[in-house]
Amino acid sequence: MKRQLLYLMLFFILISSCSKKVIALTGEVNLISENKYKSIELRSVGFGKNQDLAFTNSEIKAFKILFFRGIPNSSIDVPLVGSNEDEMMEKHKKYFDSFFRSRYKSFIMSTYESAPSEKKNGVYSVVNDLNINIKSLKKDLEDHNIIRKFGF
Amino acid sequence: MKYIVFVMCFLSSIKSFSQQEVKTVQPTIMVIPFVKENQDIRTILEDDFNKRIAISKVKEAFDNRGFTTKDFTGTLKIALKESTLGNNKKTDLKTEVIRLSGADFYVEVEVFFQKSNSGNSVKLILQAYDSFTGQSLSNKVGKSGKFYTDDIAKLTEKATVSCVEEFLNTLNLKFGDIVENGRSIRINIGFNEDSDYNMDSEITGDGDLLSEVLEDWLDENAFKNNYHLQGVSQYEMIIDDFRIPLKDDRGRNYRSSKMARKIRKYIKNELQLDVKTDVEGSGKINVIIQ
Repeated sequence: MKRQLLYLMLFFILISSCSKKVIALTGEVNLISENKYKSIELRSVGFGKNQDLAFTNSEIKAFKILFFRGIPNSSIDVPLVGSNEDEMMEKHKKYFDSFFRSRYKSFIMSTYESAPSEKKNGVYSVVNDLNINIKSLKKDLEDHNIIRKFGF
Repeated sequence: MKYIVFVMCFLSSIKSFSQQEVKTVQPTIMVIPFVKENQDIRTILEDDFNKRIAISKVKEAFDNRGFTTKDFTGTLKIALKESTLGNNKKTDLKTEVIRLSGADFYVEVEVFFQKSNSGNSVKLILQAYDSFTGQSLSNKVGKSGKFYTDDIAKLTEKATVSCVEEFLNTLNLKFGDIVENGRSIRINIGFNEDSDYNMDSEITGDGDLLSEVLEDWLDENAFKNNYHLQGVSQYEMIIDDFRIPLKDDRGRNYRSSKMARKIRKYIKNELQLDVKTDVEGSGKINVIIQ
């Protein structure tokens, strides 16, 4: 009986350790420059178990902040899509699933690792400067009815 | 076999008809120069190249969003042809141009040029208004920054570009509010000079006054019960913000003329009063009780 209980506990410990850790959305995305509302350069800090994941996290984070928080001192100082990310992601699940799988990369014009990556407590962090094609991104959101076009 | 083909064709035509997409009527917008009280709107653009630059840049920003604006110069020419306008009606001409254009909204562009020893600069004010209710929808100030240059046109362009996108973003937020909460129109209810009625006339057997009955009607018919009564006097009732939906129950575009018809039918059939209505542009209904 004791052995069975021990196996059960070990099983749960194993399951919980294998479960995917969700990295919280932090707001470490800052404006570097904006080019006449056509492109925007952002500095995004990403975290992950390895450098690649941290890099991907920084890219996705930049888009999520643009969509759901906005960037102060830029033309997108209010969220592009809306501030309730859970509701919006659920409402347009198909679009966002596809977007964050790989489509987001097509809106990144350039990336540059502006500081050496660091490892702290087993977590890597990278500082990534991204240049995003904001005009094309807005049009994509409009064409897929995620945001309203100009007018009624 | 022939019958089956015929029935299939008939059914597919019904389906395609029912699926016909209703295109939402977009608001019309005109970009005009700011006019001071004693300035002449006729010559303000001809005399100032920099104002023309600013207006062109604002129009270009609308174009970039896939939106066509009404042409100010063209409308001004039509307004000038109106025989009733004399040379002494300089400021009235602006109202006349807006009225003739039929624009739902207009954008006023004001340009300031500042010369100083530390450099020249241009400041620009953009303001968007509802043509019929006068509501302010978006306001932004653009600055070129100081430069040692006499190229004012370039500075004007810089000042316009610095704020026009934020200006359009705010305007679009207001458009979103209109989609959600209805379009604002103005309703003026008055009386013919020879009318036996006024707002204080008892109109029902219960002793309700005409103004009270009309207010009940406004309560029931304003979109989401959203309206603002500016004031009621013995001879007039002014509703400066009455919301109507953009689409009716069947998904068709809803125009202010439909609301005019609704109020006319109510006054005529329910209150048994003779009434005339006229609709100015797409945002003002005048109701005249006979």
